[in-house]
Amino acid sequence: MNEERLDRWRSQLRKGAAELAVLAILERGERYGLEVIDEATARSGIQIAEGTVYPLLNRLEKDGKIRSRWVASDEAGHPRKYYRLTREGAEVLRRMKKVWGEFQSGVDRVLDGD
Amino acid sequence: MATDGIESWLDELSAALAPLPRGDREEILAETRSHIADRWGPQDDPAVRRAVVEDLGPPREYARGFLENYDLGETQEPPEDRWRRTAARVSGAVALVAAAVAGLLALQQVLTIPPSTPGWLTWRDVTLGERGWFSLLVAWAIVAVVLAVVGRRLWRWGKKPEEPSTRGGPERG
Repeated sequence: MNEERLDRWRSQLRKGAAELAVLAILERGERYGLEVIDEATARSGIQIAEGTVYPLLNRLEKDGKIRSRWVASDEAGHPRKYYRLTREGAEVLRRMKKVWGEFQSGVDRVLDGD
Repeated sequence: MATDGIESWLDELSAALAPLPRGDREEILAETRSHIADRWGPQDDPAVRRAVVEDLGPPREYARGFLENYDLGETQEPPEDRWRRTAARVSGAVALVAAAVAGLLALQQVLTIPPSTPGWLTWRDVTLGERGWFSLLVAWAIVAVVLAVVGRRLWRWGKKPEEPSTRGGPERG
C-alpha cells in the first residue's frame, strides 16, 4: 500500500471514528468547538480536521444527541458556543462504544491470528 | 485591524450557506467567527491569520458539510447559481428564437430571387443590385447559424446538472 492510499485509509478511519470521539469528549463535560478539536488531538494524536468538526457538531445537534448554548466570555473577549451531551446522545454513545469494542476486538483477533 | 482575507472568506461562506434558514446560517457564521477569534488569539502574525482560514478549507467545501445536514432538495443550489442558470436559459431561448427569425428572413431572401438571376451564378456575374440581395442572404444565414449555436450552448449551460448516477455497482475506494 503506497503512502497516498495509506493516508486515504487513515482519513476514512478518522472520519468513521469522529462522531464517537466527539460524543466521548462531550461526555466529560461542556466544551466549545476548539476545545473539542484540541482534546481529540491531545488524547488520540489524530487530528480531526477543523472543517469537519463544526458540521459534525451541527449534525449531532440537529439529531438531538447534543445541545448547545452561547456563553459570553470575558476571558476570550467574544462569545463561544458550548456543547453538551443530551440523554439521547449518552445512550447513543453507550451503544457506539459497545459496537466499537466488538469491532476492535474482532480486528485484534484477526491481526493476532487467533 | 487587518483581516487578511478572512472577511472575504466569511462572505463567501455566507453566500454558500444561503440555502439554509437565516437563523441557522447566522449561527454558523457566528460560531465560525468565534472559532477564528479563538485560533487567532492575541497574535498579529499574517501567517497565523492565513493558517486559520486554510485549516477550515475552501468556504464552499466547508459550507457543504453543513448543507448536507439539511434536507434542502431543489433549494440546495445557491441562489446566485440559480439566477445565473435562469439568465442563461432565458438568453438561450431568446437567441434560439432570434436564430429562427434570422433563418426565416434568409429563407424569405431565397424566395425573393431577383427575376434576372438565372440559377447559380458566380459573384462576377451578378449585377450590383443582385450583390446586395446575395449579401443580405449570406448575412441572415450567418446570423441565424451564430445565434443558433450560441443559443443552444446557453440553453444547455442553463440546465441544472444531473445528479451523478449511483447505479453501476458499489462505490470503489
